[in-house]
Amino acid sequence: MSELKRIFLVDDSSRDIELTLAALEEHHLANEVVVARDGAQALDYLRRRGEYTQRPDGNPAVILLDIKMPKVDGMEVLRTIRGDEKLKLIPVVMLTSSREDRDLVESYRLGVNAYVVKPVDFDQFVRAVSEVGLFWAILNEPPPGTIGRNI
Amino acid sequence: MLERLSKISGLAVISIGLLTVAGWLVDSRMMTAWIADSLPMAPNTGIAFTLLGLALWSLSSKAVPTPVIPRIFSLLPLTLVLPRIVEYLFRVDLGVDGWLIQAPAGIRTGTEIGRMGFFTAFCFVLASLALLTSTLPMPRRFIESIAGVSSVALIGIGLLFSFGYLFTSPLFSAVTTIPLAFNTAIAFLILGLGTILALLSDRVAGQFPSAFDAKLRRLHRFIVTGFGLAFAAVLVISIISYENTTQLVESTRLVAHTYRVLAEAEGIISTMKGIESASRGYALSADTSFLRTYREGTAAIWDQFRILRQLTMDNPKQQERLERLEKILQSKVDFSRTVVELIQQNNLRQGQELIRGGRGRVEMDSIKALLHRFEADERQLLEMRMQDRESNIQKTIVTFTLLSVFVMILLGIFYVVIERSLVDRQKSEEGLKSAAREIEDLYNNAPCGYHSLDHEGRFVRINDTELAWLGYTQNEVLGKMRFTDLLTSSSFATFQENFPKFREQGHIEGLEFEVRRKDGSTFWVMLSATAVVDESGRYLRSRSTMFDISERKRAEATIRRLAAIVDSTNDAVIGKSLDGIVTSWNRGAVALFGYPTEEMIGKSITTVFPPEHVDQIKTTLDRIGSGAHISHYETRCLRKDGRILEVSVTISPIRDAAGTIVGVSTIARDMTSLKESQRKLEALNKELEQKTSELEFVNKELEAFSYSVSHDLRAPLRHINGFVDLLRKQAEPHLDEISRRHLEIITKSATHMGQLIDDLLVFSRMSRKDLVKGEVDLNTLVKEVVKLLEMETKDRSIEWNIGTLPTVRGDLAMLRMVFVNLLSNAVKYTRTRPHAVIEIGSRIEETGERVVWVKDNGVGFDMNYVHKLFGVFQRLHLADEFEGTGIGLATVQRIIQRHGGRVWAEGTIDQGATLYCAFPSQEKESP
Repeated sequence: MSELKRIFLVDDSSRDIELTLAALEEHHLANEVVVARDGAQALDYLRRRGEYTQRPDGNPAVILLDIKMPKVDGMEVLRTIRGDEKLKLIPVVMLTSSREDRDLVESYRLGVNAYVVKPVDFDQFVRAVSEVGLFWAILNEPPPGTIGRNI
Repeated sequence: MLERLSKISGLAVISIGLLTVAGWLVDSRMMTAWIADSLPMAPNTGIAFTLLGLALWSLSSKAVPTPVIPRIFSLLPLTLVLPRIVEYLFRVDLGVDGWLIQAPAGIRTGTEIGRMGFFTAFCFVLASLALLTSTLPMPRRFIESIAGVSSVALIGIGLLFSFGYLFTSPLFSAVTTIPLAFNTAIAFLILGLGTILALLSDRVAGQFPSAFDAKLRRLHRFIVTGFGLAFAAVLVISIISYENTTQLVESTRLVAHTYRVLAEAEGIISTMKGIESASRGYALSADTSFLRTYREGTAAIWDQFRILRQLTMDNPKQQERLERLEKILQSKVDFSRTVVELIQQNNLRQGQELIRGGRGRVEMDSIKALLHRFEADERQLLEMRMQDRESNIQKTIVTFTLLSVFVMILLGIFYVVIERSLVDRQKSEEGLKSAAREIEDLYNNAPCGYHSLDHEGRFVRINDTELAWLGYTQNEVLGKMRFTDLLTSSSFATFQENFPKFREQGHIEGLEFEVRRKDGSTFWVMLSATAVVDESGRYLRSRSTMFDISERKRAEATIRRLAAIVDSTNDAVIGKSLDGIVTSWNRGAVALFGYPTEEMIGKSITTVFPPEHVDQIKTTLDRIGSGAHISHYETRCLRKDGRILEVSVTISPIRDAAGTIVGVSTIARDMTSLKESQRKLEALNKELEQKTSELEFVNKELEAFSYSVSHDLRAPLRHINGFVDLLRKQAEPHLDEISRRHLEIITKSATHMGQLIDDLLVFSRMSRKDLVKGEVDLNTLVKEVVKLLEMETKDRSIEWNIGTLPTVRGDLAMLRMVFVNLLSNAVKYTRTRPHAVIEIGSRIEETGERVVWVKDNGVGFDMNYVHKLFGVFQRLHLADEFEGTGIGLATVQRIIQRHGGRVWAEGTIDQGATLYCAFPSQEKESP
């Protein structure tokens, strides 16, 4: 079995994080899931700053990014990633409650790879999250030389 | 002045006449003859003068109003004069001169004293004629001809004879032999002068014809005067010739008489000699042959003597001689007889002795001497008569020659004057002809039409200009066409109405007619005419001028149109002079300012301005006067009722054809209400702006709210669902049926709420989202939606009846939502039907609206609650019966409304429902 790719989940809601992790678990996706609770923390992690200076090398296989967050929101994070030479190749999937057109348009304009609205219905939610995880963390082949290895 | 002189002349003549009559009555030669030892005026002549003097006085006197009195006075003398002429001509004695006053008989130079002379009588006829003519109502020319010639002749005669009395000259001494008394001549002179004066004054009736100008009148008077003088001269010549010839004949007769007397005297001598010698011879020879001679002598001698005595009857001296001669003759004859008888008795010796006695010779000698003396007397008389005759002939020749020369001079002057007037006339005729040609040219080629119409309206003259206008030739028109033949029917009526009026009043001006040319085209003319009438005022023909006014008519039509435009506008259009006096005031002005037109014309425009604006108006007018133009200048005016108006005025100069500024045009628009609305609009705008900003704010809030809702409301639901599911999975084996059902309800409620939120977000998005319009074929759209619904309906029996649907302009995504809602509703509410029938159709309303309906045979609804059907969260069915959020139809309604259409529904419980969507007509929706 090949090395499991890392999934980077950015969400401010602990419940959503729990549910998302539950949904990933449901489908037995054993990939490492790194969680950041807001945009600032996410960027710190990605740039190995602050508390993450010691984290292992390499970019996650996919970033699941919520939009509405305190401090630095999802859009800002996305814009920063796409503007950063080291980060811009990372696939980013918007996982959000908003189905507002302006969020959709803005996200795609900033170069998002996918946009998933979190369904209210849990079954559907589980299906959506696991499918996203399955696709990006397992099926999708990331750009070479970007993924860090578990040591 | 003339009248007074004429009247004085009349009175003078009366005085002369009455003086004469009085003179006869008192037997004063001074009063009748004036000049001693001259011919007196006859009593009848005096009476005639008195009457003619009265005639002249009454003719000239204003006190006598009627011409009948002078007429009678001028006729009365003829009762004395005409019988006298008859006496002369027929050599009868009617005793006319003794009818009234018996004058003592007497003869002076062959004229009977106290009897009216032939010449006098003739002059009276002239005078009577002159005065009578002056009283008659005849043309002035005729009166002046007759009365003037007669009067001038009287003046001439009067002058000639009175001068003849006063001066001695060969002519006048001859003239004095004419039987006309000095005072008669003077009276005729005065009478003639008086009549002339009366003629020259206005007392004489009659007028000169208008053609008699001053020049012609002078010529006429000259001719009258000259003719009168010539007439007088010829009259005098003929009378003098008559009188002198009569005298010549008389003197010739007397000469012959004298010769006869002489001859008879010689005859007596000769007879006596015969008797003497016969008696002597017989006595000596006794020869009886001597006896025959003797007897013849004695038989003739007394006859001869008687004749001689008769011949000299008028000569007493000779008669006395003849008486003596008779005695001697008797004695001689007796002696001879005695001798003869003695011889016969044979007493020869005795007889011879008697003879020798010598008595016979003595007697014979005394007879001879007596007769010679007699003859000498006769010869002397003869000599005298011969001289008389010679002198008469001489005088006649002189008179005749002088008067003939006078007449010839007169004729010469006449010739010259008449010749000159003829030349003048010739010249003026030539002038007239060329003038006539010029006038003809003017007539024909004048820049206007001329024609003349007779009393029936037929053309009798027409000029070339008019013919050219009409396209006819003169021959086609004159005498053949009436003016009415040229007129259109409306103009015909005008003519019929005005022509009789024109003939009656004699003139007409400015009539307008529409006239048809020969080629059928028409044009407008203006006609003015005056009438030509005869002396009695009867209409003969017209003098009409015609002007082509088509251009003016067109201009008038334009002006009328413009005026109508000016009058129809609600703006006040005002014309005024440069000093601000109103010259025109349209209906808009009346309405705006409240002043009627007739009140404002002539008034100053300042009337409609508040007093404080007056100076400004003057400045404005000055600016306009120098060519400025003021547009949409806003000012305040004063209505008649005192209300202040806000007006916008445009002021421009009015220029004439030459470009000179002659007035000012003002167009004023009432801005009062506009201003008011503007103010209201501004206020509303402000309010609107405020509302808009409020709305924008609210919208933003709403957006933020929606955003929050979509994020923050769904998150908890998701969590509820998620954790309930997790709970169920973990606690499933430990849960009883009730707990499991509770968890189920929690999940369903959360899911339903999620649905509600989603629908609500859609609804709000539909309200806010911009429409992206395009052509949407509803047939395709509906088919697509039906297909979409197939998933839900595959285990149901549904009959779709889809008619032909229109293509509308709209937002495809929104319209899809409309039909998704409508069709899924239909599907949902027919769920209880074993066989559902859903009909989708369309129709076009009269207004052009395209109505699409969706009809089902489902559960229907109560029409009482139809108003709730399209409300948000409004539901007519229990959620348990039919699931749903109650937002679908509200969304439908919102979308259709945003497309400019409307929705409504019809339904009956258990009978199905029909939902209608009306799209606006294509024209309305297009922009």
